[in-house]
Amino acid sequence: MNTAVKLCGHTLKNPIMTASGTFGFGREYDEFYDIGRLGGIVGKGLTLAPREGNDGVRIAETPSGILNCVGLQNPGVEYFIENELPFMKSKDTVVVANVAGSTVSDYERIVERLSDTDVDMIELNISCPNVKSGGMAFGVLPSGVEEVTRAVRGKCRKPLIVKLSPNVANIADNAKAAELGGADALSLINTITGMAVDLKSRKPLLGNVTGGLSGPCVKPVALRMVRQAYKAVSVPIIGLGGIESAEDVLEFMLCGATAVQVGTANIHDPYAALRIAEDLTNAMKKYKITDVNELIGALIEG
Amino acid sequence: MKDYTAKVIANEKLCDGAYALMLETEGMPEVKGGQFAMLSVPPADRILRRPLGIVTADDRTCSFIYQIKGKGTEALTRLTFGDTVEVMLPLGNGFPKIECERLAVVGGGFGVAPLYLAAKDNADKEVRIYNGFATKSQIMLEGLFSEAGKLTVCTDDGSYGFHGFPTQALESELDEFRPQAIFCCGPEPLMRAVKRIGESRGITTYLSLEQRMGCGVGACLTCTCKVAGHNKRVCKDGPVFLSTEVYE
Repeated sequence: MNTAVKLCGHTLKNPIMTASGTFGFGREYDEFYDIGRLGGIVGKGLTLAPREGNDGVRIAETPSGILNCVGLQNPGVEYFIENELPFMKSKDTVVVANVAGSTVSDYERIVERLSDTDVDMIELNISCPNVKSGGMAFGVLPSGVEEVTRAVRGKCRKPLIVKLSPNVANIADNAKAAELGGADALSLINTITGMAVDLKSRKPLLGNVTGGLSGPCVKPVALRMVRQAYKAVSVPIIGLGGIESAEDVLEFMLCGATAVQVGTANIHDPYAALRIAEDLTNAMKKYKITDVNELIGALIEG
Repeated sequence: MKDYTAKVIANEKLCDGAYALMLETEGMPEVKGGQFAMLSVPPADRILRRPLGIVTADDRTCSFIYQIKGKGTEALTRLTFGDTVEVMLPLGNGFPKIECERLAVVGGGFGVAPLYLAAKDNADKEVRIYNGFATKSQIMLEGLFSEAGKLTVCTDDGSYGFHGFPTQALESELDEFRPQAIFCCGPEPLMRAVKRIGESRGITTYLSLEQRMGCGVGACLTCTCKVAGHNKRVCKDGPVFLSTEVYE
């Protein structure tokens, strides 16, 4: 049985990656299991300078999901290169750096800096809903997506993944814009903007008023968007949004994903990503799949 | 730190709105006073675990107290003998084992939870415990705490024990007791008051903070608080911090 997939010139031993912001830089979860057993690991979103993130309440729960508004708290790209990247690279897995910025020039500089390192791929976060200048300005309209992708492409000497926001009018248009701008792969979906209300105080529950919704409740939206993006572009797609099981992985692959990212599941189950990766062959056996690659995009419609 | 599948061996109402839960599992690790656990909660649509301070722990059991705060903790009350839960522990730094002769421990309401083990960890010292509750019917763990030091139970309304806040009980004995360190866990106003008392007298004071949590292991950065001007993770860098670094 084959679980290995090819993504931007790298071979992932299985299609399971971790989603940025849910896995730190891997250290916390490496205390539970060898994170080298995953196909890939994606680090916390990085900015040029360290960021403290948002004040106030940063997490709320909703049926089958959570809302967060961390606001890109991170130690900055230089700290990452010196202190976190060597650890990540010591693991037998594909290492992805996730980056965010407030201006095109921020994105260019951080990507240029990371291109000088041994990081395997760069994921461009143009869709963080929790900071005013977290790239969301670029992520909404296809023209913005194309502009920032093209600018970054010019500076990027690593495979470039563009992470798309679901908070848009037409995901297919944004996917095409990223491809046109030079993306080597797309990842979707980032979180869906939402709110939680504290009835007692009559105030928004989250410090940032709005937050990003994730978890099993967003999976149907994510599947739909992965499918629409898959039909619109020819670059590979990394699917994410509420993945909790190996069956979920197979569903995303059928819709068009070459690989997937496990996010919120890590937060409530420290073994989630490994459990899903290890269960993949069982699920494949159950559905008579000998090679996961045969599933990619193979959804039978109509 | 590990994730265990544990069996519920008791889940009982302690007093008004308060429950005590005891879990059993093979090979329970050593737990420091002030450390906590992340518990899975029964309804499948509540995906986050609940952080609970560890009240007691030995090589096969651990116990907790909790109050009904929302749907997750409400569901916890429905656990019965033999049910299993996932429990990740021990998490967080816990209270330090410090070099001193006299230690004051101040708890308020459910904040008393992690203080019993913290007091026991410092059994080589003279320990005085000041636990405060709103009223007599809400007093918890009096028998347990009386084993860990000289206990003063306080009630806000004077229906039992010392009439007043635990900070007032502490202050009334400060000159005579002269504690060299204070451990505190409770509602924010209590912790701020203890911070003021400790710092004005030059007493090393540790506070155990509470925050809404996600992962419990330091990865998701949702439970941060300002520590010496920077956002630190309550779950991993804390929950116990020096008073001089928090509530500025």
